Amino acid sequence: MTDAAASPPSSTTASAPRPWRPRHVVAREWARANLFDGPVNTALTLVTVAFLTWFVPIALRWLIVDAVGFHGDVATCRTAGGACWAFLRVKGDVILTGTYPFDERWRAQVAALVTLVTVGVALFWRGGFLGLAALFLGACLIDLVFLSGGVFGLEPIDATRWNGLPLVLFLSVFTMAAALPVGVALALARKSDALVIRLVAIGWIEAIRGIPMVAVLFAGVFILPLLMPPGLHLSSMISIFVVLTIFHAAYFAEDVRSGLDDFDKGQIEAAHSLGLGRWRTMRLVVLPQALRTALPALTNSIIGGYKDTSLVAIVGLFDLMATSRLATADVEWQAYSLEANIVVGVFYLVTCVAVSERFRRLARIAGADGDGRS
Amino acid sequence: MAARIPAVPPVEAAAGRPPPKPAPFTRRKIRSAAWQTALALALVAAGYFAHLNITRNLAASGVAIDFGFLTREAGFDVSEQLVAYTPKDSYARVLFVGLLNTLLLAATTLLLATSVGLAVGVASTSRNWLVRNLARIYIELLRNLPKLLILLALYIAMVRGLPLVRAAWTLPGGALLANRGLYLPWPEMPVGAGLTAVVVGVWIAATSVWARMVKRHQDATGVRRPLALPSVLGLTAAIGLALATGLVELHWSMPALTGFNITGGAHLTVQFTALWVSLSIYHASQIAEIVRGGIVSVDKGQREAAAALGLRPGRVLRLIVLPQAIRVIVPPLGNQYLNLIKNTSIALAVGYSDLVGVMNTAVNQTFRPVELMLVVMLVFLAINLSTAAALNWFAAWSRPPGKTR
Repeated sequence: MTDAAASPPSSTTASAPRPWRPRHVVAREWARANLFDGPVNTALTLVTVAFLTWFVPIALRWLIVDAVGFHGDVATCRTAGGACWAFLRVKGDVILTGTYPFDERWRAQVAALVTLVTVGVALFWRGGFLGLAALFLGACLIDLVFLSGGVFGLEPIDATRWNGLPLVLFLSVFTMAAALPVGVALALARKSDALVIRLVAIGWIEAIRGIPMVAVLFAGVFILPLLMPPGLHLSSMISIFVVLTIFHAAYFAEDVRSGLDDFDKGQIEAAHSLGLGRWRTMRLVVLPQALRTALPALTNSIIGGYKDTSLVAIVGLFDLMATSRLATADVEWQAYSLEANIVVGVFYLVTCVAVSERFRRLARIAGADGDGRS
Repeated sequence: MAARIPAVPPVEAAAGRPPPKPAPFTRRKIRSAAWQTALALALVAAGYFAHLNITRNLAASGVAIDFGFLTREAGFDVSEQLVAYTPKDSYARVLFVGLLNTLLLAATTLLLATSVGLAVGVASTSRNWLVRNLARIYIELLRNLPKLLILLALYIAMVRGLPLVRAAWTLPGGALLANRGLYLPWPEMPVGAGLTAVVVGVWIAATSVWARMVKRHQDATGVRRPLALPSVLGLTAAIGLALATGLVELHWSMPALTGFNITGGAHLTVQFTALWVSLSIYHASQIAEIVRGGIVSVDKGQREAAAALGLRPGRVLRLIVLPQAIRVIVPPLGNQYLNLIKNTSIALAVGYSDLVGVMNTAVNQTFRPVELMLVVMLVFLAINLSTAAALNWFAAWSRPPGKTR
């Protein structure tokens, strides 16, 4: 018993077999080592336990015990003391697809599903770069056909009505897919010997990284249409797509540059002495390794970019938060915005954790270390 | 897009012979120069074309690029201001008001986010199982939610859930919370504000001199004299003396309900409070992860060695772990601070008049997006550059002497 605090509790399965001890003794030793190790730790444990015994019952009561289930109605919600999950049954469509025409909702849902499946396939992609590019391009076109219609007998639907989940997924996934090659090119340009090329890259990267994303989005809405020849109308959807690509490319470029900075110059010389030309050295030797090193930083930027796509709500596009507000604009269901926020939050949590875990695993497989976010 | 790759692998110069001079006009250099000239020309052409389009498009709506409008009357009100402002003031003035609001939000968020982040980061490396895992849950949860979602959820909860001013909640310490915002007790110093500033200045100088003496003494003899205790005692004594002799008068202005409104104290609007809290807890999760990474990066052997030398756990953290962790922490923390400052622009979502929000209103009123966007870009560039300079200075300062990186 005296050696309990000194030996790590998890190593009981290690090579030297410990004598069998009753379970409550093991539990007591674990608690002593992990919860009551000295006066400070004991105090911390007591404070934490006090907080949890206050908070957890309140949360559980609101979420489950006093809540109205999925099949309830608004009258029971009024009198209930907890969450109103019936809200999701009634208003789920509005949160998912917003003002997309009711009878054509299935098209928006298919588009969202196609984007999700594309990301899933891309995360486990084993083919080459060109195949991946073709995958994203194809998925983007399929999404556009479903969302906008006008072909194959589908009713045309204006871009201002592409709302909610399909919009968020479309904008985040395809702008980042387009931005990645641009970002790699920018990173290489920033390390170029040629002064003009370098200056252009530095100007792009630093100007974009210096201003907030909201300001970049406003530039897309206000400035980009002014740059077009008179008579050419640019919808805000296209403007936002373009500026988001420009925005993400600048951040990706800095991540890739961190990979290039760590690169061993001797390998380039070795590749040259093997007779590889400049482009093949770049494609076969430099980039694969640099991207591998940059993977944790890229993961960060990708997750951040995905979360920040919600900011398009500020310039008037309807992301999931804007559609949640739309759903609670109905006087009858006004009081249930927290329920909508929780569902949207869980969606973001699950997708972010899934993507970052997959990237972390890829980084581990590739041999790059680091925890993924810095 | 040429990468910096030598076309010919550099050959070590043979002993005694000078290395061959690179030829002035290799094929590669000529090609590179041609590409650069082409790119420069294309850029100039694109710039000209853009300029042409902008002027034609603006002319179609009857305006031309001109910063003169900045002196004209703005005519719209802002949600809150730190300097006097009425709708009769100029556009330049309202942009300045927005800038001050942005800076106030950024500074207060920076403080709260850093303190919470530091605490949670240290907690996530705690030996206490409960504390450690709660901290991890906090980090993982907040890091994977969009900041706009946190802001809107908190804002709507505050607007809907908080009581009317008449029935404001009283928080510990005398602060009041109602659906019009947070009312904090605020210190007022009618007499002796100048003297207080002098006392604080002397205290900072004296503490830094004492810290130097402590270090020199420790370097010479190995004995560490107390640093924090005399410093705190000195300040307490000075303040106590000043208050007792009446040279400085200090009293707290407490918020209180008078009639239909709350008077006294400092008033933070609902918008500001929601922004401040939500951005702080969001960035605290990122900062906590950075702090955790820094603490974990310190070799375990260092702690064991310090413990073997007889240092108590608090001192091990303060003298051995944190000084080494801080060097790992500072660069990503600096990035995080820059992000935080930029992220204050989501203020627009709840109608707090920050710089970008004021710009948006001004653009809608004047249709001068080019000029206003330029102003905002330059302001953010200036903020970023000065923050980066301050962080570089701090990074250089926190480095141990003799190490360049």
